[in-house]
Amino acid sequence: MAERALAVPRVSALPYLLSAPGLILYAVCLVAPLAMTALLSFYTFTMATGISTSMSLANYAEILADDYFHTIFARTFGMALAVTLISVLIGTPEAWILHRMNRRWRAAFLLVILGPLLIPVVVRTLGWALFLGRNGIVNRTLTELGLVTTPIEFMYTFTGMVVALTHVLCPFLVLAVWANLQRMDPATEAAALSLGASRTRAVLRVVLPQIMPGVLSGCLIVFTLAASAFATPAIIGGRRLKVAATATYDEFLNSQNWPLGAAIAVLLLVSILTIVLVWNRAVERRFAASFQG
Amino acid sequence: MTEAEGPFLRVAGLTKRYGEVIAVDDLALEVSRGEFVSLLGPSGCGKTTTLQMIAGFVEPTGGHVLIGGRDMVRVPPNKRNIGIVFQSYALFPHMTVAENVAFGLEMRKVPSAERASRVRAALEMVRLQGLEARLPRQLSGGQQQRVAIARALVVQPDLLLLDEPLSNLDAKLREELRVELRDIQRRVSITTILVTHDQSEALLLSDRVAVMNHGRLEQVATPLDCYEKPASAFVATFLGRCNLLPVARNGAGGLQLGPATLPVAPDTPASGALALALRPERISLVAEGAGILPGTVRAALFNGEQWLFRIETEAGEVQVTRANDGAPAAAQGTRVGLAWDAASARVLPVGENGAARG
Amino acid sequence: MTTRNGWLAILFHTLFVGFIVAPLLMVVWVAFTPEGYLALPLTRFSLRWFIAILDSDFIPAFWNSLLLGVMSATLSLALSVPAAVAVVRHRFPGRDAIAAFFLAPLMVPHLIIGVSMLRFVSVMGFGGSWITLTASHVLIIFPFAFRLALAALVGFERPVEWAAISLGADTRTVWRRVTLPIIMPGLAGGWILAFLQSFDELTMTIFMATPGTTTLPVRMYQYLSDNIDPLIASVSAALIIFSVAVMALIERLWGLDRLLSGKGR
Repeated sequence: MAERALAVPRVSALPYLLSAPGLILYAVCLVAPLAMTALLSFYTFTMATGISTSMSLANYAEILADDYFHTIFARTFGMALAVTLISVLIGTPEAWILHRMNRRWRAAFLLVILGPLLIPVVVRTLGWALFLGRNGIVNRTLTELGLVTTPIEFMYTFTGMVVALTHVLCPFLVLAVWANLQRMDPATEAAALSLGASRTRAVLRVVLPQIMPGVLSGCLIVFTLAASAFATPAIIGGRRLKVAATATYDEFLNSQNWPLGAAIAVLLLVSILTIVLVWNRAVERRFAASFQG
Repeated sequence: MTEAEGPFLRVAGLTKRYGEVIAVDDLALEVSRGEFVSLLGPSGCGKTTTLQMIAGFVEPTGGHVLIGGRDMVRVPPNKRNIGIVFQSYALFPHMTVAENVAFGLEMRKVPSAERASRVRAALEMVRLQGLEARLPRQLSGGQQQRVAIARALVVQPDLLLLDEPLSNLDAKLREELRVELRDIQRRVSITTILVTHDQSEALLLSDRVAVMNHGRLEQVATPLDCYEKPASAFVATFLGRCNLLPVARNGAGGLQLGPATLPVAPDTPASGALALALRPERISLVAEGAGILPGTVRAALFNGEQWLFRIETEAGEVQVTRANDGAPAAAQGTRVGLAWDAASARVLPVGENGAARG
Repeated sequence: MTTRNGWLAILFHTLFVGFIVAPLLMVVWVAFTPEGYLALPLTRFSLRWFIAILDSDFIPAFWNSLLLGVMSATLSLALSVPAAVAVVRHRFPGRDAIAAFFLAPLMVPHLIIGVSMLRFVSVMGFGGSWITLTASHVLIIFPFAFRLALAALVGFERPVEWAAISLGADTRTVWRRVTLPIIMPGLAGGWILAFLQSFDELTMTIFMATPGTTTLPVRMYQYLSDNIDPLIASVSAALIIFSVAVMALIERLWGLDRLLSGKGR
């Protein structure tokens, strides 16, 4: 019997049609606006004439030359770095402790720790404002105990921003490490112990390497969210301690200098994406090396 | 459907290629009405792809599938009137047992009164009366598979396809359901194709076994013929245990097996590498010097029912089994002779596909 | 209380949980003040400021947020399910790129999407409107709905569909009667997550919201910039209680950790 003509795998239009509505939304609401903003960052602005479409690098030159903006970017990434470091240092052990709890306690505390992710950031930041304000409970207690005479200023300080933002973002890190721990085979730790490793060595040599992917991806999430955070720095830091996000907001909605605001936003986006790419590359290389052998 | 002459299911030149990989290669198979045929082979041999091409879920690269004389390749899978039972049961988890079974009748717009009575009859056939209102997750694995069987049969399909239907069950249940499956198939006398990697399942259930390897059919025959007259070294080793001992034609017109010379049977291939296929239970241990091939007992292993001997000979290691009759067996190091009936041995070609399995 | 944690671990855990919970409890506690200012410690409790919410402009803002969340979560699901079907069920050139592209808004800070949408709207001359606000919300919550839709479809056993087809069901019937009911819990999880993302969103929305479309987080932020008083505390407390209720629902139906890490059910 003659063989039927070979069915050449044909490319069907269906998957493209199915993706089309989403792709159109992305084109209109993500790609086009981002392109327009990138373009806007090259425009010029004067108080008298407003935005003019003559292209120049003036906005970038201003940001790169002005100490005011240096401070803002240094503060932004310093804050993001501090929040990430603290989150790793407290979030990783917490995920490990949760992992070792018995089921009922674990379920309860997982809710307590991850639940705040469902509460609006404004609300969570308000808690810190109440806590740390001049008349907040911390200062009041310290004063009443006679430990301080004048209230300690947390509001409008770098420390205050870092503490409040760590509170907002640390659950993401716990979640990432937790998800990773759940995939880990608990027998590996037992195996290490049975081979004569001490408890500490078993954790350092066997558990930690296995949860590293979770820790590293958690770091990345926390860092990118911290570097672009708006609400918490705006409420705790206010006008006095501007970060890139709040500076962008002010340029757009207060100074009306949109081109300059756009340039800040573009610089922020580019630096975050660069860090993400470099980080991913480094992580991939490291794990490719340790898992290929 | 008018009764066509010849086979009910005819598969001809069926081929599936995924890029460079050939999953199924020019497969031809004919199945009569009411016959039970197993597609048996190791995983990756193309048996499931064949089943899915018959069902219509995989489009063949070439070839034909004819059911009752009608070419099905262009017929969509929902119009083929084929019942399928999957390894994973594939029950609809959100529907009750009765709703699962009724689904196919609903698709065929069977009036509800008739639907109810047919569902009842189908559930009775698989002995699940009383469980109509349960959800699949409230049933055991064996019960779930019975529902799947009822669901496939209630629509009175032309063909029943079973895709490893018993592999997810534990050994005891598997044996129970095997017998039941065979009974049901006989009772409704439906043409059935079973895909399995389990040789004893294929031997027990089928009228004929089609042994597949690397996308090709190695042999299609009754279970007894497959076992007794394997067409290839692969079939010999895949079905049951088999010694494959290298033999070669010698100048004197005989077959050389180590130090022994055997007569050449008429059906011995004329050229190429050859092996003597010899089942362990067909070899008997005799006194040193007697028998066909001398050897030394390297190990004697006892499992209650039988003894397994590993005998070192000049032709290689030979496995011999002997039913336990209560007498002590030859100890390690004993020199023995190996004897067998010429009719129990077959000379087979060994190609790259027929690499011997232990 | 724990099986294998030492006392040091339990101490650490207690401090950590305190760190997470204390500011929230603080908000709830001060919200019950009867005074006209925020004062601690409370000597008397009163619902005065909760009642005051009813006459405030937080109520219309709440309705705006609710409406916006429902609309954008529904739309994002309607758009992301077909896209997830394309990615999971089909092999086609550009598939991986499209899948990665659909997750891209996770990598772009909301601030930048907000700025860009503001620019886009002003260039196109749309003005602030429900349409642009909803479209931008659909965009930022799309990855969450998409991820849960992916998880639901990946976990779906194809033989179940094949069984339905072999029993005579056509493509539409298979979707309506078999596939959709089975993946529905996963999709509902995606909807909830998307809704919450929209409901809580401030950073992008603040660039888009006009007086008519002020959402609750935007209104709260504006209010907080002027003063911190018992009213904002009671609004926050109410939101905390609302969130706890939603959290309990999620935990019951999906498991909070599974939903948040995008695993569906």
